[in-house]
Amino acid sequence: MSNTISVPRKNTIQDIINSSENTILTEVESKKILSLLDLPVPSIEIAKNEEEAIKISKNIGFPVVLKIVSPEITHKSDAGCVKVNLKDEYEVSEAFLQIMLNAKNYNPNAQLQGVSVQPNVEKGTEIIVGMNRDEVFGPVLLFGLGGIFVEVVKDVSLRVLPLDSYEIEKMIKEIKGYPLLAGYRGEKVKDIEAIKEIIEKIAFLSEEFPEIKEIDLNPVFVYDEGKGASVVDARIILD
Amino acid sequence: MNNSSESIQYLLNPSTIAIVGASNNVSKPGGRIIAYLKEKNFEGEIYPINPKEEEIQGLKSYSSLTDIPGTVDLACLLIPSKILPGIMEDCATKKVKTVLINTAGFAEMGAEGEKVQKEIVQLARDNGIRICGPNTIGVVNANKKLFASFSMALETKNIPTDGKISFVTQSGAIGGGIISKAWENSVGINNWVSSGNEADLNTADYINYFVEDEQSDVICVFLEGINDGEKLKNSLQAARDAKKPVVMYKNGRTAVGQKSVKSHTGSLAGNHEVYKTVLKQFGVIEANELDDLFDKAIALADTNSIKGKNIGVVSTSGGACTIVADKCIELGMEVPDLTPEGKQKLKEVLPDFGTPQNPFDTTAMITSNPDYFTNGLQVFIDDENIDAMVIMLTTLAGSIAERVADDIIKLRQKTNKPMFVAWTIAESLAKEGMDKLRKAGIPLYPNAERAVRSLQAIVEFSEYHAEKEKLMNV
Repeated sequence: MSNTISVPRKNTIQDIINSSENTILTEVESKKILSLLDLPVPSIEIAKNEEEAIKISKNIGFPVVLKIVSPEITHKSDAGCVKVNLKDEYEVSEAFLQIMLNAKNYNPNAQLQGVSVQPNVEKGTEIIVGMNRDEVFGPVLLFGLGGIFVEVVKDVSLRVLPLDSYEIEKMIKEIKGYPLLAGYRGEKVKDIEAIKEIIEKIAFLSEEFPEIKEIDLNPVFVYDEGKGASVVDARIILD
Repeated sequence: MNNSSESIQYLLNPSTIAIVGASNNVSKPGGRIIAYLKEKNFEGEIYPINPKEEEIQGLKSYSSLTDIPGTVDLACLLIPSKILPGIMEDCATKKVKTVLINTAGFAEMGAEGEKVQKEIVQLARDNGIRICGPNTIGVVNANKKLFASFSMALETKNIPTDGKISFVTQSGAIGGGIISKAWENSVGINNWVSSGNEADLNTADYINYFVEDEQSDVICVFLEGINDGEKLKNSLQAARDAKKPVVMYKNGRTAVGQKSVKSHTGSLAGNHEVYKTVLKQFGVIEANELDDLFDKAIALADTNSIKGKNIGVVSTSGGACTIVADKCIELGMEVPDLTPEGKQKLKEVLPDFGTPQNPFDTTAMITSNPDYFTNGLQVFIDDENIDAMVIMLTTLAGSIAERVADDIIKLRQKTNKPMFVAWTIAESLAKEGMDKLRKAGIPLYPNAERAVRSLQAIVEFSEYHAEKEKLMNV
């Protein structure tokens, strides 16, 4: 496996990094970077008001997800700032107002850039892919099943660079929950190739941009073999 | 600047050594190091430096490094930190190749010490000199009769001089403690580097050197922490590519990387986990306990490749058979049945008692007829279902113990299959037998757990490399 990126794309990523005033990039900025690497990121657009939110929703098609865009609010769900499965104009409009209100209550000083509108992606098996830059060993990649598996059981595998395709495969198979991806009890086999590609690209991103300190793609939905994956939430943290 | 390996060559195989701070008082480091060099018959020149003495321990004493007539490969500096910069200037003038700095009170003592340490390293770099230490207790290359250390570990009787295990330790005290015990048990550790503060040469440099060194079959490392992770990774990769086993004990959790982390990944990838990851990823055998370090090195010095993980268990006690078999299964190995031919042969050589199976209980009859034991073992060696054997001896003692040890050694010489011995009786009751096994390089352990854990290291190492090789051939 080899990874390259065109110069204009690389420059765009560098611009996003350089222009960020905060060390924690917003979901919109993070996902923009990921999409420049051709990672499977659903479309994401910022709406400044109800009307824009409705217009974008109609364009991408219902149902949609609305989330706050604010550098200060990183735990969006905890703040009541994520509304999913919105089926029509009325629900979008109500969700927009509710999110803005919750955001102000959660942190009166937060700078609110608007609300992101994204398609309500089909549920898949939740995984997490991440990176933490270790002061001694450099980028450390992390993979695990998402949700309770990562939070409670801490069933994850780690790797340092260099990371070839063989090592990535070992990394995926190493977690205890691997059978859940490999077709457990009649379930269809999940798209392991899509996971490999995500890990490989996150390793590449970490290597190319030393300013990036941490990356969390959590959760990523993985679908059945051949059907790919979808990065549902993403956070990139700079040094 | 010298390249690191060349400098380490001068450190571990010097023709001439100067001891700055030499003393007639053997209770001082500068006295003891000369006493050890002489007592262990160092074959090169020793130049004691002490302006106050004419002669030190029978050797002509020089007042300064620059007075020495010939070249100096290695200068051991056992002096207070105050006069160190001046002496380093002398080393530069004399064009000393490598210096070993015992002096403590540097980086480990705070900012001021760190500043002095940096100055000394800079001075050395400017003059092409490389440094072992500071805060080292010295180095040993037993096979070359170089004992340039003042560690009490050098008091050990009968230190083996044909070993193939090389050992790097940042902590000289811990290193000295465990190496003396290992030497006493005839474990062949030839090179020992106490690397101290690693202001210049560091663990990765020593690993790189031992990877190239033909006298090193296994590399043991006791690591507290390092700054240059990239360099360590590269050295471990070099060892892996040369298929030379590295066994490492990683001490503690350093402050590095303990800053607040904001992501999931950050909180799950702490310092210790990252070290464990690096070891596993590069095929390093991790020593979880201090005993594991040399236990596993002994195993890997015996052989570093094994066909599979099917273990034959032979013991003089049924209970012991169960202990060994349980431990094998627990650590992911198998204790398979013998082939039908093997079972038949076992029945033939042992007609009247016991059950011809794996694990095999020879019962106590071994004491009346040791041939049964030897013939039984031969069946296990010949059986294609078996890749290695663990022999657990319990209360076997005295002359019969020696006989059994002789037989095991003879059998091992004719097979590629590792034979590990767990011998539980008090050392003094079977000393001769145990010594024979150790001298012959048969991995010997005081209990089943340590024997099986060490055997598992060979399985782990072999599996890691078999998997890598399989990938290469795809």
